Amino acid sequence: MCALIQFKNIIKSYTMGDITINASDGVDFEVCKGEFVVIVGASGAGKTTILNLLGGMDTPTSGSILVDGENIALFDEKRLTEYRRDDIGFVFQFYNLVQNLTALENVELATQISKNPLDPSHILERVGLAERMSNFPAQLSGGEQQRVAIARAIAKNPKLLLCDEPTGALDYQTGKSILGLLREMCDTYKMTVVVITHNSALAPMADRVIHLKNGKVQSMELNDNPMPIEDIEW
Amino acid sequence: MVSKKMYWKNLRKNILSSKARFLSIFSIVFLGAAFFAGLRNTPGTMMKSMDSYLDQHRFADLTYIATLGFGEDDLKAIENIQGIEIEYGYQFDAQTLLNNKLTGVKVLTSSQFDENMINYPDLQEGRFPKKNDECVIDSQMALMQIKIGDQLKISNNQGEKAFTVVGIVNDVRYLAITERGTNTLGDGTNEGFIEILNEDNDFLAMPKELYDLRDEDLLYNQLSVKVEGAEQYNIFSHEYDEYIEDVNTKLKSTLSLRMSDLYETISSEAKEELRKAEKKYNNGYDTFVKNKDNFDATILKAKIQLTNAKIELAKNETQYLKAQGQAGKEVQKMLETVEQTAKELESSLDSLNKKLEDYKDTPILSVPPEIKEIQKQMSEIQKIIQSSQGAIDGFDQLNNASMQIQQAKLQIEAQENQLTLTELQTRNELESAQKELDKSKILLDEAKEDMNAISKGKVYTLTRHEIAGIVSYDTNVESITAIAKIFPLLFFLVSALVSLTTMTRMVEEQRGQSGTLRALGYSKWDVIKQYIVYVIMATFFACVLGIVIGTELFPRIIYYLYNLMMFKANAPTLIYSGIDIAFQTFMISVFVTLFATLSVCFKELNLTPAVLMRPKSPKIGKRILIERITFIWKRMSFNQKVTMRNIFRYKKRFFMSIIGIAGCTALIITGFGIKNSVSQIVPKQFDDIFIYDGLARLEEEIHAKEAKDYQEQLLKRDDITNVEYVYSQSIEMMKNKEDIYANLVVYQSMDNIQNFIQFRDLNTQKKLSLDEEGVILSVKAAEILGVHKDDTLDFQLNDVKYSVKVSGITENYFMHYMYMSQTLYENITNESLNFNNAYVNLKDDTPSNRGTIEAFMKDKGYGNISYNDSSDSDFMKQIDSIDIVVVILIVCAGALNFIVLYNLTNINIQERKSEIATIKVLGFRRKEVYDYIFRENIILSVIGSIVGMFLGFVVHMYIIRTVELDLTMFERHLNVMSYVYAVAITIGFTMLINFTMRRVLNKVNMVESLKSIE
Repeated sequence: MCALIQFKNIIKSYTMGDITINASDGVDFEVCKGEFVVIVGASGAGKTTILNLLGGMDTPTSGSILVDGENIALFDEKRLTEYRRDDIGFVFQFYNLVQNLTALENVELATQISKNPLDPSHILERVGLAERMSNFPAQLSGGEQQRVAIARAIAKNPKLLLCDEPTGALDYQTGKSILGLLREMCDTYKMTVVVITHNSALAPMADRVIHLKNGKVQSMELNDNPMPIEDIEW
Repeated sequence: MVSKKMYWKNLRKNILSSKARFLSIFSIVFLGAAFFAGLRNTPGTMMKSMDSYLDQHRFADLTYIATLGFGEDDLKAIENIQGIEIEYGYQFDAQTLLNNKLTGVKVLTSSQFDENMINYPDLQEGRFPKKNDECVIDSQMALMQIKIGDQLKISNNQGEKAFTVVGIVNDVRYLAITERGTNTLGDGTNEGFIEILNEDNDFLAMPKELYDLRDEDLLYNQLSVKVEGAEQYNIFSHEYDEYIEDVNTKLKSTLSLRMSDLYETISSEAKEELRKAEKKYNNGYDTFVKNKDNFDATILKAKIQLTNAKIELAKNETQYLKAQGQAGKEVQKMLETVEQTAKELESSLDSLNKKLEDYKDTPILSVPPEIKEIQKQMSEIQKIIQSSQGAIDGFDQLNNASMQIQQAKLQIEAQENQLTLTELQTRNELESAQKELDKSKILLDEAKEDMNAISKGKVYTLTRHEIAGIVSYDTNVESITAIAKIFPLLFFLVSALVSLTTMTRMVEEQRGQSGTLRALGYSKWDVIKQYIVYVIMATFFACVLGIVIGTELFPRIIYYLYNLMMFKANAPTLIYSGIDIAFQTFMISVFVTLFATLSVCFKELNLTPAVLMRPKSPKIGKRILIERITFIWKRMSFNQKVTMRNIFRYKKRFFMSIIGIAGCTALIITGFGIKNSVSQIVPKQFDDIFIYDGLARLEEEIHAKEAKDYQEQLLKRDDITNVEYVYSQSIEMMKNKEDIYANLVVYQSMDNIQNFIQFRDLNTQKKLSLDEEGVILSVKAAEILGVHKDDTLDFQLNDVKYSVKVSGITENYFMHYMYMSQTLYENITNESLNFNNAYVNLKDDTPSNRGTIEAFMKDKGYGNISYNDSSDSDFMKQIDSIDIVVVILIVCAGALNFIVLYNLTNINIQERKSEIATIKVLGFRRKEVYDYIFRENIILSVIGSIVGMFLGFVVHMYIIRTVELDLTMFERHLNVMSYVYAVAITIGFTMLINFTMRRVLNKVNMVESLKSIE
């Protein structure tokens, strides 16, 4: 069994007034360790719900989510916090860097709470920001900021790197290089990376692609020979 | 119009959607306005309520007390002064037995008790006196187990009388619970007052001699005056004082004139009397002298005649014996003797006659007839003898003559005895007349002295400035005014700042929306108007509500607390609300906030719609100063660094927090500081400075030699360790146009006095050295007079002015003192010192010990002994009222701290929602998230507290100096514990706020982290 993540019949419903909406309506999928996974779907397909559930920010109404053998659907808030702390690295669409901290400090913000973090400055070097370590986010470009965010996520040495539209706020070229970096990190650190995006053009670069539609997994395909990001155009 | 409709709808939505923000501005402005208006209206309310109470109970605007009483003519003299209402009565000191202890009371009388009377008492229970042996009593005395129906026997030097208690009252002349004045009897204190009717009680008020002196049947010693039209002024106002002063001048001059007339009359009457008496005495003396001379001459004459008679007798006897001698030779010898006697008698007659010469001018009273009779008989005897010579042989005849001679002898003897007796008697009479004369001479001299001593008759005026209760009320109002001056302002400053940041935040948050509106074609003004309306909606109503509730609430609470603890007046609260105060409140709260909003709007919205619609770039992170100090920065943990950066990143927030927290600390420091400053002075004065155990008054002044005997007498006892005799007298000190009354204490021994009083410098606490060149002055007196060490100072003692050098200034808290050595005193006055008081130290200062010593001393010519701790109990009660101030200040401080920190933390959290969500996603545990945000609050509290300590120091200094009375000095130094309490409470408040804000932090959803920054 290669599965790091197993979603089993996940239903997440929100009640608004007397209407109940199932944002996830029985999602099933699994992800193997070390894979680069892209979850694609249009707006309202249930991407964010999957992200929230997988990121330990929310719990499903029913179903089970096994991460490395543990059912995080049953976790209480405390255990979810520990889960996020130890197992998850998060890359946000808007980077979510702390403005008041330098690039290095932003990374340190994450490593100081980790069990066995990687060296922050080393990681920053790896993402190509050796020269900008002591800059504040406002002094960095969008791409650089996202690199800091990735470094912050990776430095925690998590089991899983979760990326929410990592290129959403970036221009085309920068977006591409960020995706390249993610791929590289995945390969270098043997890290499982899940990228959530609405852009299906990214599918070819993934080891595994999961298509979401109306809160369900529409299709899932494995890609034995993922394309380098440089070759993908959109 | 449609667009406008949508516009208003948007505004309404704006308010509804940001209920928390709206409420936060609303509540801050509300609280600020409430505090400001409330505290500032408190003095007004206190004055208005008390004024109305005093008007209602017809407080006498003026009270005159005459030492010689007011007679019919005096009353007539002021009768036609317009615009006043006068009532006559008495007030006097008396004693009554309360709980088996003779207690001093002040007795006040009135002609009748009804609501038209002046100083109409506030009846608490029972009824007013109707009969002249009924009384109403002070409600404070009623607390000492006296009930309606009890009998109170009151007594003084004039007499005693029993009264039945029929009611319990409060009186406007005794507003404060504690102040009942002094008494000339007993231990000098009053426990309360009782009120009775004038009629039939006048004998207790003034000594009978006074009626005789003034030759009046009816006298009063108290005039209560109500000035018409005075009730339109507030009694605590200058206008009132001025209005009353006019009338007072008129009345006082009339009364003083009357009193000097009276003095003239009494003294000229007395002079006339004296003159008459003198004349009478002189006449009596003349008569006496004349009588005495007369008597002496008469006696002398009688003696001469008697002697003549004796000579005659002797001659007769000689003749007789010659005749008989022929019969016997033995007779010869006898004959010689008789002749000898006759000769002697003749010579004594000569001397008597010579003496008589002295009385030539004196009319001689008739010589007693018996003596003439004797002379007659003598000549008869002679005749018989002569006739018998012819017939010597007639022996019978001879015998006859002999018998007659014998008879005459007996008669002469009898007369002589009689004369001696008369002389003795008369002499006795004369002597007693002399004594009588001497006595009347003494009386005459005394009368002369008395005439010189006829007192000029003083009239004392009591205005509201002399009524202790009203003065103390006024002082309290002033303290509140001082507090109300700064504290609400601090509040306001903070609330204005808070609403300013809140509005800034709102305008910033809604940039996009504003941009959109602008892009849609709304004018800039339209957009700004939206915020203005929003701010006005929040501040206007909050302000109005704040003014109304604050004005209703705070004065009520404070006034209630004061009444509860210090003033027994059941005066209903009349809320004073000054238009000016409402206006000020309004200006500050509405306009300041509005102005702030406008400035934010112009700064933020003065951009093109396109720029507005883009999110504002987040505040750029910056390195802070501390980072430059590498050795500190390096030592900080990562979290500490983050916290420091955050604190200094938002400067506005930083300064507001510091102001708010510092204000909080300062308020608490001031609260505890005031309490400490006031309560410290009792132990300081009575434990540290006055280290004697008792001060005994001497019934009569004694000189130095007597003092030695007195001292020995006391020191013989085992239970008395030390005594120092002093002369103590009140003096008036003058310097720099200021003059104050003080106690002069002249001590005998420079070394010994220091066993009873500590002389030390206020600041350095170093012992002062006494010398004989100058005086030691108490510090507050020196301050008022502006006197420093080595300055000279004038003072007036017993109407004589002296000048002395000040050689030291000593720590002292109550009253003013001047300490002087005996040598200096005698040098400047040229009089030898007499002592009138004695400081005593006891071995064991226990009540039983005191009892025995007191009994002993009373027996030895000492009067009252006042112990070093009893004099402060009244003051201690008063100090309790300071607790109100402390509570008010702490509550204010807590509210301030809460408002500031709550709002700032809230804003902080709202502004950094995304950041918080991010760190949550990063896996920060709850506690770590709390720390991440709240550590800032703690550090801000620490910095704020430190700033607050300085602020508190300044505010405390200001308050203490403002509320300090002339006669007392408070401890000016803040004690360490005040700082400790203040910082602890401030940090405590912060912790509490942190704790309550946890909920808000928990509510921050991690999903926020996924949203774009807007």
